[in-house]
Amino acid sequence: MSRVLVAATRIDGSPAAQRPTAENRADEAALVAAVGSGDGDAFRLLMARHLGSIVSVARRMLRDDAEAEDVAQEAFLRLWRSSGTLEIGPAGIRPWLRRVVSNLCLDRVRGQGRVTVVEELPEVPEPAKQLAGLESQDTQRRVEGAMQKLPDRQRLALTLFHFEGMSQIEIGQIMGVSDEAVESLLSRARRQLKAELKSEWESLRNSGEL
Amino acid sequence: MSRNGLGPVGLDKLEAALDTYGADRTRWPAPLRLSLSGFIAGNSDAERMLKDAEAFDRLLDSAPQYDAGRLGKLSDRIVAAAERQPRLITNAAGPAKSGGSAWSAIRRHHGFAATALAASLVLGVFAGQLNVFNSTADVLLGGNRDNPTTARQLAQTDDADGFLDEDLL
Repeated sequence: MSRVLVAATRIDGSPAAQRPTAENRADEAALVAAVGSGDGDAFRLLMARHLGSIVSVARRMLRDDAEAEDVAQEAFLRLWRSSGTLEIGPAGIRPWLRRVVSNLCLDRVRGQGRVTVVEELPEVPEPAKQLAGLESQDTQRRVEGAMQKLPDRQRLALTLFHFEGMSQIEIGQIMGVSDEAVESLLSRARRQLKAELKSEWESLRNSGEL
Repeated sequence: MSRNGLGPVGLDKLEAALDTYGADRTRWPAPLRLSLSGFIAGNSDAERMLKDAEAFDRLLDSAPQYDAGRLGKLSDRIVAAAERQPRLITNAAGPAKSGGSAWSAIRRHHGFAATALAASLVLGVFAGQLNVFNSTADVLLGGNRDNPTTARQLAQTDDADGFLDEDLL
C-alpha cells in the first residue's frame, strides 16, 4: 500500500505539514477494520501515518517529550482496543486520533498534580551579544514559554491550525465547538502571542531575515 | 457567518484575518481570501502587514518540536504494549490478511491455554486407549478369567470405554 502525501508549501517557500491524500484516507476504514480483527500490520501502518503528528500535537500541548509519548501511546492503544467498534468517515482516522489526543492533553494540563514550569518573559530584552546559536535557542525557549502561557483551548486550537494544518471545521469537530468559536480562539491566541513575543518579532522584522 | 467575513474591506479586516489565520493565505476561508486579494495587491501598507505576519509565523515555527528520531522506539513501545492489551477480536473485517493476523492474535492471546488443554486431552485419550489395549490383549491372548486382577482390568476397561463414549458424545 503506497503512502501518498501532499507536500504543501507555505508562502515563504518552507514546506508545510504533510497531510494524507484522499486516497490514503479512503483506505483507513479498511485498515481500522483490519486492526479490529487483530491485524498488527494494519496497526503499524496507521501508526506510521499518524504517530508523528499525534506526538507533535501532544508535545506542543504538554511541552515534554516523555509525557507527549505517553499520550500518543494511550491514543494508539485506544485505537487498538476499540477499533472493532469504530466507524471511520471519509476523513479517515485522523480526526478521531486528534480528538482523543486533544482530550488526553487537556485532561493532563488540567489534572491535579501536574507542575508546569513557565519561564517569565523579561520586560526588556537582553542585548543581542550572544552567539547566533544561543540566540536561536533563547528565542525557541521564549516562543515555547509564550505558547505555554496561552489558555489550554487557545493553545490547542493554534497547534491544530498552525502546526498541524487542520481546517477550522476539523478543529471545531475535534474540540466540539463552532467555527466562530475556533476563529475566536485562534484570534485571541495569536494576539496574546504577539504581545508576549513583541521584542522577538520586532528583531525578526528589523534583522531582514524575512 | 464568521466575524472575519464581515465588515468593509480594508486594513482592519486584513489585520483581523492575519491575527486569526496567519500570513498563509491558502489557509484563509475562501470568501475572505477572495474579498481581500484585490485589496492587498498594490497596497503597500497591506503588503507590509503581510510581511510582518510572515515574520510572526516564522517566529512561531521556531518553537521546539518533538524529536522525530524518537519515533522508532516509541512505535516499538506502543506495539509491545498493544500486544499485552486485552481486546475484543471482531470478524467484521472479513478474512485476515496474509500473515494470519487474526489467527496469530488469537494464538498470541489464548495460545498457551489452548495448547495446554489440547495436550491434556491427547494424554488422557492416549492413557485410556493404552489401558483398553492392555486389557483386551490379556483376554484375547488367553489370560486367566479367574484371575481377579484381569477381571478388575476388564471392569476398568468397560468403565473407561463408557467414559470415552461420554466424552465423544
